[in-house]
Amino acid sequence: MSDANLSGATPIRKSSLLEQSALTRKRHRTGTVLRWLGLGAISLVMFFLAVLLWSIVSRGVPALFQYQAQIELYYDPAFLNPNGGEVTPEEIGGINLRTGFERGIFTSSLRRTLENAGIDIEATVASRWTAEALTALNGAGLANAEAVIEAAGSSADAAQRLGQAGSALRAAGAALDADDAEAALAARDTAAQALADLGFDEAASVVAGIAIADGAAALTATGYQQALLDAAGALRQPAQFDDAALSALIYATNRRDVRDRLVENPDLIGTTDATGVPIDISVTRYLSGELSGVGTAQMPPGFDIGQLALVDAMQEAGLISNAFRWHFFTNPYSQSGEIAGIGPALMGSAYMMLVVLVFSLVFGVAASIYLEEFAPKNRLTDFIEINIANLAAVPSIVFGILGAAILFTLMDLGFGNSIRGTALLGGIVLSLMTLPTIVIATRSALKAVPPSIADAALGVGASKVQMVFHHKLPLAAPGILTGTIIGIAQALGETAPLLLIGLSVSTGAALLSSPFAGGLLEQAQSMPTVVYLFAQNQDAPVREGLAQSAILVMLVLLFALNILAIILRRKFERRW
Amino acid sequence: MDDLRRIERTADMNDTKISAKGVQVFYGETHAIKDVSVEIGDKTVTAFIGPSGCGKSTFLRCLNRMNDTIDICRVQGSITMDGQDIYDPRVDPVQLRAKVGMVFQKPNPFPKSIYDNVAYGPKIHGLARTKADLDGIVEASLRRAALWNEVKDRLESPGTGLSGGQQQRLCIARAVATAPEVLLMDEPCSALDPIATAQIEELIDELRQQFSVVIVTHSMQQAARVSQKTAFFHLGHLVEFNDTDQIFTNPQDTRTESYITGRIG
Repeated sequence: MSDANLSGATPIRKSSLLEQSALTRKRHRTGTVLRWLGLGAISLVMFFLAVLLWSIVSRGVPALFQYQAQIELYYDPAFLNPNGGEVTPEEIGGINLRTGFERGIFTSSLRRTLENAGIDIEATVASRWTAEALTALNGAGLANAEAVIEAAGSSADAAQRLGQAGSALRAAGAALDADDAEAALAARDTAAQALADLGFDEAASVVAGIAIADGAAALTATGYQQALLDAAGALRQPAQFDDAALSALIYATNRRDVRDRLVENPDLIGTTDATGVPIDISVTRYLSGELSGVGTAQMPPGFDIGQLALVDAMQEAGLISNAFRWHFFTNPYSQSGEIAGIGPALMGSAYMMLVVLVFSLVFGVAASIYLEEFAPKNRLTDFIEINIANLAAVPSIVFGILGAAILFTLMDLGFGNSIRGTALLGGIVLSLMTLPTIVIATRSALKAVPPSIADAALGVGASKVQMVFHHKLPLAAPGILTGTIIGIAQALGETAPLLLIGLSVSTGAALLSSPFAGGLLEQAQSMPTVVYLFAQNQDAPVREGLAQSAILVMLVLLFALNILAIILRRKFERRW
Repeated sequence: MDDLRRIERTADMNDTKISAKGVQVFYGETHAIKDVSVEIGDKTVTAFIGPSGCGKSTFLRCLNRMNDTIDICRVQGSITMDGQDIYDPRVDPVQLRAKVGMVFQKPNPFPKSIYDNVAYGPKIHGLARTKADLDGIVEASLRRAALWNEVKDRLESPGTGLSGGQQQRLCIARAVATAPEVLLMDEPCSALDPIATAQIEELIDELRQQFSVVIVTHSMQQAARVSQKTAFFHLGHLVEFNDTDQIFTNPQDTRTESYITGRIG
């Protein structure tokens, strides 16, 4: 006899199916709220992701292109061989790169090229400064300023006369504020006279009309004094324009190559060679429109409008091209953004990934197989398991400190400096960091293999090793691969441990040799540390351009790795 | 079943293949098998029946030491095969399992080709010297499992792509390929439809010509159809072990009678 009719069970309620009960409504409400919350969270994430990608791509992609001045390099015999006669390679090799080659070949070639293109350098610079002076004068209401400057003859003379008038106004201002009314009147009239002498009759009458009671404030309010002094300053600038100002426009990146070429073949002296020379990286921000060139804040640091006028003229003459920065992928890191690149960093990171792959995959898979299949289940293995799981959560800088400790120990033993900053040390440290990820992924992949497969293998008389290696491991391979690639991608982006073991200071590292020829033991750079260095650069275009370009390259690599993981996974899973 | 076949069957049951005496199995603290003694004849189908959790599968897995893979499992008592103790420390379970093949409840072909599924056992046991040998073994095994005609044209296609019944026959072929002397079957038809079940049962009857077959089954009809000997397990005890005809027509124990008439189970 069952207790089906036991009293005290859930009471039976009468209700219509067509109406929602309060409880049902509440449940639906909760569901709706949760759905919207989830949607909101996803939207927020997508928004931030889009912002991140946009900020990287919008800066990184343009920075991959470089503005170059198309210059006819002229190997000037007058510079290279001033004494005439036979020139020896040693003589050429002895010429200083920066002071000699840059000015003697590059700057003079730039000047030559500009002149050949029909650009009058001095006139271009002067006309821009004159325009600047006119803007200042006209802005203050000093009409017929153009005629005044022209009347002065040279811009130097105009500058002097405008400056004198400005000084007179300043003196008048000072006198007006003083208590001596007579002197104030005299100074005011002197200033008015100075303006009238220049030809600013209207302004002269305005100044003459200022009462002593109005004080210096009234004079300042006219703005004449500031405009006159500004215009005088602007008109003085063209005289300052020299080779250094011209030279600053370009970055003579290939001066060493040029010297080497000439040393090798002195017969080139006297010939010309069309080449692209990078424009200074600060000027590129003007060319790209990022800086307008108007006002101090919008001026590339260290440049003036005269130089920008020249840049404009060059652009008009078609002497500036925007070419892809191929050398970014081959050049070593440099403080100078014009020639800086990520070549050794890419290689260093690749080598480290190689080391990580070998170390962490071999040790990780071996450890997981042992723990999962062969280890007895006891307190010790439990302890090890917990610690491996914890290891995955250890901050990466701790691994860096461990690496540094290894480094110091090796230093004490006498071969520390040979391993400092090498891809091998970096790879070992990153392997330690990746190991737990791979162990966890491998173990879960092994666990996910259905036990029936193990039964089947053991049932036909396979040994445990055969069972693992013939059946479980192949089935777990996609999971292991995915885990490994994710671990490696993680290691690729890891910065902190590498900073601690000296990969950031090896800024001079060149391209590495092949891993079999000892490339692993050379001073290396890595992608994340180079990004770090770029982001700390003194030049804004490097901080905000090349750093993003390097990040972009890293992201593309990570993306490729993840795609690879997916493809491998699909390929292995689709087989059955 | 006609009488002629029944006579033929009894004629075959001559000598004992596996003899278990006083077998006790513990899973940790749980006493799963309590003092079971059973004689399994050569070229005989022996069926283990009983309600769920009665220990029949556990006992079956003792016969090829599959229980070794479970850490907490302990086996006591003696099980001999052809007079040799299979739990002797000198016995390598790997070798034992080549002699005592096993077919599982759920068809579990390897995720490899049909050919590789069958060839795996012979390969690891070194039963074939040449590729031709191996081909021969594979064909013979598939023929014995009555699967050859269905798969001979697609030996390279995955074994997991076959239907459930075919997969189970593939598993039988795989077990047969290592030339076992005993074939253990753990509810081989429980995941199959009636037609596939009928095919497997027919196959079991044919396999009896070469092997001693032990089959665990939930279906009393199946036990009655395929076996010559039947053992009834209940709560870890071997309640009754006798000729199948006797068990089903004239059970000695009341528990057996209750079970086969459907009153407990």
